Amino acid sequence: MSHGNGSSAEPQLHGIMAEFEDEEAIISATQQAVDAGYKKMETYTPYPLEELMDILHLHKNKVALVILIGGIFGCIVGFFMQYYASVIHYPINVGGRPFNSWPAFVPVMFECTILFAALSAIVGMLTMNGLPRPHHPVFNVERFKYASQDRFFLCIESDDPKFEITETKQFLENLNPHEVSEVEE
Amino acid sequence: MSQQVRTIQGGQEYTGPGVVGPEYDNTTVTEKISNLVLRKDTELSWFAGVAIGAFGGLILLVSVTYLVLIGTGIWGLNVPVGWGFAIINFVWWIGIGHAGTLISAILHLMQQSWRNSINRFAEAMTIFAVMCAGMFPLLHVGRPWLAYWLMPLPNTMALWPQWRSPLVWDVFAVSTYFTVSLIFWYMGMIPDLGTLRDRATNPYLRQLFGLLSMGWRGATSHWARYEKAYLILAGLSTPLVLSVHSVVSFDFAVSLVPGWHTTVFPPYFVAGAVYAGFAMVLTCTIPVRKYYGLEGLITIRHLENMAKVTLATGYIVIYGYAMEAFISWYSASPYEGFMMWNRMWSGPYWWSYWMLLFCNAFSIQFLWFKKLRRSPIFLWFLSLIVGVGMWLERFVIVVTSLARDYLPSSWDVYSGTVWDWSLYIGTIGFFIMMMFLFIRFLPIIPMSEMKMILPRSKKAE
Amino acid sequence: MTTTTETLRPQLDQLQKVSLILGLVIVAGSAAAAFTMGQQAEFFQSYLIGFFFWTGIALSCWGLCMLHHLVTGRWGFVLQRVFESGMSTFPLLFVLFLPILLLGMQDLYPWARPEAADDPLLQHKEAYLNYGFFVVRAVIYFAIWIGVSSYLIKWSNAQDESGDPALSDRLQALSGPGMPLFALTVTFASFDWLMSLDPHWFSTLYGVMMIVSAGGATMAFAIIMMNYLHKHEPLSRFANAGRFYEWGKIELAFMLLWFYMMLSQFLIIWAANLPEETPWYIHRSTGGWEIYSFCLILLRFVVPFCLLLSIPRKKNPKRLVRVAVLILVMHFADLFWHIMPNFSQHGVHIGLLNIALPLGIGGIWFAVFLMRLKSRPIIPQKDPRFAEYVEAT
Repeated sequence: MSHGNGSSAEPQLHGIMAEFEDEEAIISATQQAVDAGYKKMETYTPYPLEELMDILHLHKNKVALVILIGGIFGCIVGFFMQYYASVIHYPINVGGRPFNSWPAFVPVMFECTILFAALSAIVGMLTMNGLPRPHHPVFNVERFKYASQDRFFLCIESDDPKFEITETKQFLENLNPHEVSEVEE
Repeated sequence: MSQQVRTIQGGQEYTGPGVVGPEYDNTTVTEKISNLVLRKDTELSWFAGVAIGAFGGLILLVSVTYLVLIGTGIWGLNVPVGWGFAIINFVWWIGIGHAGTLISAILHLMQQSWRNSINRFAEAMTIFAVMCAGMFPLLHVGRPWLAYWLMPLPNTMALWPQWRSPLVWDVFAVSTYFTVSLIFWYMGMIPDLGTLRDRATNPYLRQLFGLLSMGWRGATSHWARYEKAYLILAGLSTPLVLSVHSVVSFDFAVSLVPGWHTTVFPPYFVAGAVYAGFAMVLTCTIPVRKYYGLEGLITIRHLENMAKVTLATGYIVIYGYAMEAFISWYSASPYEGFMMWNRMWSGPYWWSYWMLLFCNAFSIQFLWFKKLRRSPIFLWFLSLIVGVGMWLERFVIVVTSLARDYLPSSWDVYSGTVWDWSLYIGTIGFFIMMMFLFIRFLPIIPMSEMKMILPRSKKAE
Repeated sequence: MTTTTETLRPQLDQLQKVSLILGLVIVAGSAAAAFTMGQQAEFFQSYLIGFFFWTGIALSCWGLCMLHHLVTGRWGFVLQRVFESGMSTFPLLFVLFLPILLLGMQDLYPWARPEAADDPLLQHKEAYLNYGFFVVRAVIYFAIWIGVSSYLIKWSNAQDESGDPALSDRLQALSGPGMPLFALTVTFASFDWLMSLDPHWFSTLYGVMMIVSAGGATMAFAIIMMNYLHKHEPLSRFANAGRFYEWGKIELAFMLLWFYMMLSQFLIIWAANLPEETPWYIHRSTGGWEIYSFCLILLRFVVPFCLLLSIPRKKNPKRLVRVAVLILVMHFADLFWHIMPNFSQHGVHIGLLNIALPLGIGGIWFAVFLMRLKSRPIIPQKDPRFAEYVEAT
């Protein structure tokens, strides 16, 4: 996991994290970090902030595609499950209806579409987010527990090409944060 | 520097223009809601509530045990009326669940931010209601231990479910509905579970919530995918909820029984479901908001909006009654005409039809008045009447149509036995118990979503 | 004060003139041709399609306008004047209905012919399906439509003058009871005018289906109008990508609902297979109609639905309007599917009259619509929510 560029004497760092008290502060800080040329950073907020997604260019993702594929797969599975049972494997005449009674197959096809799409939604979202992952370096910061409550955190990660402990720390200090701390690996 | 501590103690009615009361900001929302879960002391009344629910649950257990031992003969079913309380209660419970999905999904798509304080509650209601609903058909099959035959499992006799039957569609619709509702509910709760993990002082509790939250850390890149998935899930749930009750209505409508076979059933059932469901949300939230002092989060405005939805969907239901009555004459079919005449005047259940009209058509007219829409006590009583009305609606549809079928020689009168009632009351008890457990152990109002709709100026405080 | 999109005014004047002249010429020409060539029946069939198409749009304008007054929001605020102009055409539509009432009854409705006396089912329905009551009902429908819509327009105009916020409450108070009136009158109008073309057949879902299908067409019409107007002041400040996105979503919901209604009705009748109900579908699934029905589902639902799923498309007026045009055309095809198989049960015949006459009626209707649209500010400028909406845009 760790591939820090520091020597083995000091603890490996995941990055340096600054805490902010409100939305405006984290938004402007993130903007400044991007402007300063930092590339690998992550913000942590108690609720989603559109502006941060804009700044960090996070709007494009593959969630919709995964769900679409799941849905189409479900629809096809739903139809052929019924087709196979009623036409191929055990055709049986029920009230003179055709073996391939497609109007009657629509409800189950639809349900299968939704079921598979919904399952792909949660599984896809979690997998792409790398969850479940109960332990993560950011949790090593004492005050990070407020990230899920009412505080906003910006972490510049150590694998950023521009990352340099003292300099980055200084940079974050200048953004008027509540506190700056090192995130140990 | 320590976190500012300002706990909101009691609640007072908030009638201002905002969605939430002025006393709330990011900190207080978190504290108020998570403290409902994490507080050490539990008031006696909660235990009393759980006990009442659990007593109902015991009745359920006894009823199911006796049913499994003896068989469905203990119910009041007879030859023309083969579907009695079991299907009535099934449809009633499923319908109640629908408001939860409507609130969480459709109002989310319509960007109605007022839904954010009641959606978790309503979704929980959905899940428990679907659990109650599912029991009835499973027990009604007679040998519930063979209920897995309803699934398309390959077997040596090459037997498959009857795909042309709406009862098989039901299996798929209801199980999909349950799964998707659960996913939606759980997914919406992940960030809040993270908050509880971070606030819990008990190490075991912290581990438990840590496990349940899957290590959610609120990274913006995660939020981006999360929001997208949540929005699409809402988009999927909307047609799903339409389809579930439509499939339930197909159970009746694709048959040949007069009074069942009518094309308006799908939309009319869906509207009726939402109508009963909103009434149930009112029944549950009005006491809870009062008791836990949540008047600043679930405000009068929420109640009024729900009352409006109840009125609107109630009118669609009335429209359904009107269409049924008119077409039964217009069709010039003697069977249809007899069915309606029997239902209204000449049959043994004429009273149920008029009671149903009283509950569903007459009583909701009071909701035209703003003053009454904003009165929690009035709404609470009205919501109970609506709940009864929608039960009666299913009773009228199921029983009056079957009891007087095509062949006069097989006509019979149906009424539920004590075991029918005990099973029904048992599921209500089970539902109450689950709701009480939910109120105590999970955040009943989504914290992250509430923080999103707080006005900007408040957040900066 | 700017009364309308000033930069567009000459263009709108021109459009109004052209559509009025074309409409009158087509209607008069088709009437002359049809009556001299003895194609009276075909004339009235096509006339009914055209009449119901435009009446449906006017009615949905009325319904959507009331819906907007009830739920409010930016989507409807921007469209309010389009809706109001649409519903101010009811008097014209009443005049357009007179030819059917006075001349076309026997050509269109089997129950209005003398042979109906020999049919026991029609004898049973005689209390409802008779000429006198039919006329009375039509008059009642139009009286309600004209009555309610004129008050809505009047108060909205009064608010443009005075800016009185109490008028918004009054509009809302009228729209509440207006909704059930809308649903009932539209349902019975579609029973009377369309369902009774096959007087033996009946479906309790029919009214809802008609409301939904006309609603989708009306949103498409509104999107087309907005695409035409949105680049000009003052609409350019309101009708932005966000609004088109919302309208696209509403359209998507209408598409889904339309298919839902079609499928529900079909599945219920198909599964029960009762002799009194199935003929309606047999007429629509034999002799070439099966291909027509398939294409209808494909182009009225599958294609627009899939296209509307895309978020960028909904936000782009140019791309969205193409879908809207498709939907509007397919709404015509949908009404054709409802009406024509009652007359030509042994094959699909799409004649010149079938297309020309609805277009001609549309020309006259559109001219009146434009006249109403031009006469008033295109945005309700003194609406109490004006400031909130303009800021947000």
